[in-house]
Amino acid sequence: MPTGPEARDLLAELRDRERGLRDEGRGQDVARQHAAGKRTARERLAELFDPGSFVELGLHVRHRARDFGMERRDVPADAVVTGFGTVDGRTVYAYAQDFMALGGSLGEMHARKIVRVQDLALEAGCPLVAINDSGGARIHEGIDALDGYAHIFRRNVLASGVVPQLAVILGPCAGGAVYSPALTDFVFMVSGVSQMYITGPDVVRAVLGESLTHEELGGAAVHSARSGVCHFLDTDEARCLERVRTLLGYLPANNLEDPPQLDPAPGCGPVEALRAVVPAEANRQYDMRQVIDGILDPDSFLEVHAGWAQNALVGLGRLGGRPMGVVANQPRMLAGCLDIASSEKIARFVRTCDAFNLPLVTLVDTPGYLPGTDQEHGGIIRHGAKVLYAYAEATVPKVSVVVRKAYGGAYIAMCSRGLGADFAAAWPGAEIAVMGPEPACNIIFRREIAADSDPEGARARLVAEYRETFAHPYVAAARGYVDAVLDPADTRSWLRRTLDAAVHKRQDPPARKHGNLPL
Amino acid sequence: MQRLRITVNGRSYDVTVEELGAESAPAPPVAAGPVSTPRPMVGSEPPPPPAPARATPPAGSASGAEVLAPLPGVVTEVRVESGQAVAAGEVLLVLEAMKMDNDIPAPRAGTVREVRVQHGDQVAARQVLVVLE
Repeated sequence: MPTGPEARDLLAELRDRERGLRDEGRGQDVARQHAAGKRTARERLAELFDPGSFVELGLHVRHRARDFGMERRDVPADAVVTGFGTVDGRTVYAYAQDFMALGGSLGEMHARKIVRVQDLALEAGCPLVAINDSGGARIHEGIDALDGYAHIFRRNVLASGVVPQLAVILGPCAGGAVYSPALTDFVFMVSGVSQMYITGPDVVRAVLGESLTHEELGGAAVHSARSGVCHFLDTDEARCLERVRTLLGYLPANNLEDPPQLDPAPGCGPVEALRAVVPAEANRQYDMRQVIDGILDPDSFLEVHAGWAQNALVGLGRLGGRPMGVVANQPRMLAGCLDIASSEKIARFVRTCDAFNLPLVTLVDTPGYLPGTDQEHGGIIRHGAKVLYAYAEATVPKVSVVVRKAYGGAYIAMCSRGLGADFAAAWPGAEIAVMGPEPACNIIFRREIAADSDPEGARARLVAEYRETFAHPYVAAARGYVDAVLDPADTRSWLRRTLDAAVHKRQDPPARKHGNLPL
Repeated sequence: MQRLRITVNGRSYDVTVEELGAESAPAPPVAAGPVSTPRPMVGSEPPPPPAPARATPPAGSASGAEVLAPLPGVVTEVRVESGQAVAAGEVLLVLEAMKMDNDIPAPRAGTVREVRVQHGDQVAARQVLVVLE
């Protein structure tokens, strides 16, 4: 390095350049971002990663646009911060769009930077976290911007099921841009900060005459309760990023690794509380979360899609320190029936778990599929088929427990032995049957009931007989459809042992290009 | 259904206005192209004004005032009457459906303005059961 008073100070130049590109040199922009209740891209990455672990790539990348005055515009780092760091000591790749630079808009070089971390993450077998805060395509760059999206989407698909991909929406995400998050495994949103839509409020107003705010059209509340686009909803950015870290703790770095095992939690003795959760009356509601809490390691349940299709519960948890997926019906909502939304929720989650080597525990209490034209005409046949497909296809260890009701097609769908559960059990109050006593008797004994001098009396007697004969777990147990009838208190210990026994299971599906999941 | 003529900046538009039930969610239109509404990019513009966070009404209620049947069934118990104050989460009535006595809770605290069903009524999904003030 040259020395002397006349020599350029190379290090000073480097520092100057860096300063102009980082938050330090952009005080006004930073203040504006903060005033909007948002953090900067770099602040978000600092929060996501272990302190000081983030390594930035491509700080000096510049756009090459020459139209519409772009040749005179500086766009620091081309509006996206890319790199890698560690979360709880494990390497994770990430990018964060910089809304302060041209609205975080995506152009050719911006897209290239993203594609580069996507490629690196896939090759290294590490998760990728995408922090979205962008107005969309950079119009000045025209179809170069569109082509950029296409490359990102293609890599999202290539990486799907290989490395975990997490999309964190911390600002607008509009138009085609929504499809990168939609192709990932989990989408995070924050109330009042995140918006996602294909066409914004202006277009909706022009086309349909409906006046909607950004929030009403595509805010976090809408996507976490109605559309199901969002998996995790938080009230502020700090909680959201903390949840990203928590979720990563349940996931393997890639599909060839096992999820991180913690030291086995102590205590696999009886859980007496589980005996009192399910009401003695078959028609009373209760909260299935109490069963989940009694089975998993304390405070380990991380619910996914908590606000959407609440008649099903899905989430990650640990049992004896080992991460796994839990799927359950929620009798408190819509009686725990299966419908279109809950079928999609369950099927999606089962496939996510299967891709990332998370064993599946299924807790069943469902009266069946929700009847009605809404459901039939909405396509419950093909949406419901996704659940069957996902469970039958999954090669991870699968254990199911019938907690109370398991009727008809819904019994099969909720990971019955026949569908592929490695182990199945039932609680003593379980009712496993083709249908409920009343409708079953109305079909089987239609003539007897009609011919009786007291049809209602005959119906009541036959229903009572049917209930006694079939509405318990011992018919299924006698056929071997369930392997055990469990004291509820022993469920945790039984699940732990069966999952231990199945953890190294090997299943080789027949060679094929891919199955034809009923989408 | 109502037909109106609206004049904006000298141009007149014929529009048809249809009153929708409070529950009908606006279906986002399908975009013509993949990236149809990027916001205009001008310098480091401020983000869109943070819209007032209006919570989506929970399933089964509309506009916070009407409590709707979440699924078709038979009313087996009515626990409130008009004029009665209720707390959020308090059970208003019980709906027997899908082999279950489904508690229908108040989505928020308020006063019952109207109970539209009675014991034994068969109700359809999304039928208004109770109206809260």
